[in-house]
Amino acid sequence: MKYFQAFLLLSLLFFASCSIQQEIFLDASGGGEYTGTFRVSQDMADYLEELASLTTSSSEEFTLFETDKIKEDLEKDQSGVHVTAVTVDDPNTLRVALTFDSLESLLESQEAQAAKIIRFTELADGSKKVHIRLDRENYEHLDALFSEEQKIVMDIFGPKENEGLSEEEYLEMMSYALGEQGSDLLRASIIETRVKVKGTLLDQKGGVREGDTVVFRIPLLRFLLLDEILEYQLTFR
Amino acid sequence: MKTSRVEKLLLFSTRHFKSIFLAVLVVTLVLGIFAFKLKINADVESLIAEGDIPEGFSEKAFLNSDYLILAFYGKNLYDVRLMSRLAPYLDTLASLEHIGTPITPFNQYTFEKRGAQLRIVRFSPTGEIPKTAEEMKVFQERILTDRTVRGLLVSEDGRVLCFLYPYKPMEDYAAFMDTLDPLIDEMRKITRVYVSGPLPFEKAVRDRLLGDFSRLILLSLAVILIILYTGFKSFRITIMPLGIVITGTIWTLGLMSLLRIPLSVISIMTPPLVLTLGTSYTIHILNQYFRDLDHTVDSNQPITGSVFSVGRTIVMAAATTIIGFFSLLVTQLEQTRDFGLATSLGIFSCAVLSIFLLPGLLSRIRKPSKKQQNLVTSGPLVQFLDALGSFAARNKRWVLLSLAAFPLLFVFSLRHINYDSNYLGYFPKKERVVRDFYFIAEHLSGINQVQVTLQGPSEEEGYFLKPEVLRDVSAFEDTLRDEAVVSYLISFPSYIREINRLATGEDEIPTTRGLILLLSRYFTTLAKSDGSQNMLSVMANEDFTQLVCTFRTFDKEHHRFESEKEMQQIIQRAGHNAERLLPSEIRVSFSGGSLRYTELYEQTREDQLKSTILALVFIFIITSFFFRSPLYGLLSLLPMVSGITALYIFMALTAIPLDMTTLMVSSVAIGIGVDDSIHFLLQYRKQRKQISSEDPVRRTLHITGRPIVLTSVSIMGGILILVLSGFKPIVYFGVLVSFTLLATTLGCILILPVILNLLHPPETGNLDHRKKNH
Repeated sequence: MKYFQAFLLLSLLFFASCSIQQEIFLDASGGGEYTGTFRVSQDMADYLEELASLTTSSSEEFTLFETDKIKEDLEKDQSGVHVTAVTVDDPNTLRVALTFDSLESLLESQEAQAAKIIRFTELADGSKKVHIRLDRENYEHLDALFSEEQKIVMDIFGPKENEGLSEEEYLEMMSYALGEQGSDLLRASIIETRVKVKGTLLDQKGGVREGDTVVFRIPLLRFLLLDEILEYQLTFR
Repeated sequence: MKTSRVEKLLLFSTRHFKSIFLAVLVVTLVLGIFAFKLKINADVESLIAEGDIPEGFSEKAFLNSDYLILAFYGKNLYDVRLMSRLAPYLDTLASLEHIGTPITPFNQYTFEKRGAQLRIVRFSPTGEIPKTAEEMKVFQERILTDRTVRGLLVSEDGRVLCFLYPYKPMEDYAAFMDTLDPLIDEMRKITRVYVSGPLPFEKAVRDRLLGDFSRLILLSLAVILIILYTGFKSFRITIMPLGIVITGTIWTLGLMSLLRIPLSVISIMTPPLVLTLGTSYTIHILNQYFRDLDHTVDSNQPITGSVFSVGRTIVMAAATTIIGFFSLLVTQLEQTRDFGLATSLGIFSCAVLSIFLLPGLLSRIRKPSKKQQNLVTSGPLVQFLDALGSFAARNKRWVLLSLAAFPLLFVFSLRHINYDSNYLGYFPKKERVVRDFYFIAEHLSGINQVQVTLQGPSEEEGYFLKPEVLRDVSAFEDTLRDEAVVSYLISFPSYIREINRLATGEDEIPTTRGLILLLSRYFTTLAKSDGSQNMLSVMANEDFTQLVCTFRTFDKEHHRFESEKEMQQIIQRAGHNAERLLPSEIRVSFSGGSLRYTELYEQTREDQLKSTILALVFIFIITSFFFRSPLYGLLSLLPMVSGITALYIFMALTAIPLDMTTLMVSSVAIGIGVDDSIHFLLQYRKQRKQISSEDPVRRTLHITGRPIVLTSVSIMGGILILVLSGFKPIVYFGVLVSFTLLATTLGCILILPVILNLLHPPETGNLDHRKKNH
């Protein structure tokens, strides 16, 4: 399900002055639903359009969210995943909803497995463990997930080019691209993912448990810099 | 009397004339067909060696020379209607088969400040010709604000916009230009258009080559005809040598085609040279034939006898002339080597035809009349030369003084020779390509460019992203800008400074890395863009361990290009400044089109010395071998001393520069000029063997003086035709070779007799006939 991963990762870059909210609902069978809402500020939308023009000709019209393409990508080469909705409520807000038979079918891909970014383990007692680890080393493997256009954005702002960069330097760079406000918001941006388990939540790591929901809050800056290992784990039955 | 093998061969050629004539005809027809397929190489830039591309960069470093340059001038260029009229032609041009993605003022990138943000945008909002007044206004503002493209895509006053069209190598550039010309003509109806680049020059050269070729050949033939008739007063006698040299020339052109030697700016001189040089052999044979007519019994004997007696001279003369041209094979320029080879083949062909075909032809015609004979043996020219010989003998002192002065004059003049490989000088100043070239150079930034490659430690990725390093590089670049002739400079540090000025108002390298990092990301992204040519992508390599700074030169104050010497000095100063200002771990190298011409400065001097020395050495060896005497080998070179010295004095006084064509003069002059001394010395040795009270030098001058002078005059006359060429260096070549030959001939008939009289005073008698001579 590599395109979903690419989509998620790319969406992490819709940072400053935008919000990303995701919810994953896991039912007893291990399957579930995913919904995500992505809001991008007008400034950011304009900026992305300009970046796109660096490599495309003017005859190609820029669309911030190409819903047909997103739906196609999400459904490509998948089994056990069904996209129920990809809509644009207003030009700068995208909603995605899909169902899946299992977390594996949603998140598994050869690239991610090979890079040991996501690991699924079925434990002896029948419980399932999902372990996500992202560091500078295994991030390299994610390059294959992106289309040429997506790579432009990732190349300019993504973790690959940020090795050795301090947070201060990175924010200074981003302030030229996005203005002072943009770098402040970047500092404050959090990707929030709520995972609600219908069943028994046995263990988690990296998040905050709120009843039967685990909330993972990822500071965007940490992902963009990858100056520390990002590690998350969920065990459930 | 026992006949030698050579005589037998000569007799065979006269007795089986028809077979030989037929064989020659067949060969001529075959080579004639090949001659028609002779290719033309009008690429002037191929006259210089290939330049080096900075390591790590692709060949599409955008400021290289393989661009068609279009410059539009107008007070109202920023008018939507005007641009919309130009648009279809520009689109058509961009869509032509060999043209790549153009670099235009519309599709290149600039930066814009919006509030606190720095945005990368194209000059034209759409990346294409603006279609609305609003788009045009935005474009105009952006293009006139960005200092980095001033002098490249737009002139200082904004009235000239420049478009660069890269093109792929093509076989038939003439056909391409024929497609392009109508487009340019249509655009010229809309606004002023100036076109430059290698392609327009190639077309101009090609047109001139074709025009010169037929004209020079015909004129050379006319000159030869006149001189031969004047010398022999016989139409039949005149036609035969002419036929032989024409045949030799056809063979030359056919062989050139077979060997894939194209007709070029330099080898265009081959046909007239072959025509004139080939004539000299026939003149010597005819002269001897006229002299020998009274002493024969056999109807063919005078002919074969004449050829045999003068054949050795012809063989030596041809060999030395061929060596003179062959010495050009050591030069570094392919076109010069081709010229040397082609002309050598031509000389060989004419010599062979003269020896084996002319006797047969002469045997088929009525013998010359007594009157014609007397003209040759004792006519006015002979009498004049007799008097000249006496004059030289009476004024030995002055002759020897001039000989002694030659080395000093040579050294003096050598230091005052100019070197110039600027091919613009090939054309008249009013030529369209030259006028357009100068317009673009004056209004933009010149076209000559140099790349300065700065190599940092390869293991330190991002080395050139450090502010402190960029500040040092920027200081170094300031020293380049301070050079009076540097009219444009672009580099990553200069770009950073410009963007920093835009972002913060400070015209300097930022003290922190943020802006530098952002720009580097944009540059890297653009470099990876598929199919687009842009000026940003060639300023640094991917990991920023290498930078390339490109600067252009043109002396706008004096409206001229800098000379090779001046460019050398600029590079030297740049080298010193780099050592002084840059960190020691940075390695600096220079490359680019301009430097190829600068290197040619040294290359030309080196080639000239090499080919001259080689020619002198080999000729000395051959003549010493033939004469069986190193002394006579040296004597044969003596007239060369006067010839070459006179050549250098003439060049120094007239400021005729040494370049790719004139560098050949000394080698060619040696090869041609030594013919005279060979003829003289051979005849002298023959006269010394005979018992006579008359001074052998005077007898020699009496016999050989006429053919020497006639030969030299016919060669000079034929080569002077080159002054009618449309190419200045070829004009210079014609003037210089003629002048050198004149000096060499005078050296032969004035200096050589004096020296011989000193070595073998007439009162000692004919000593040689007592020795075992060969």
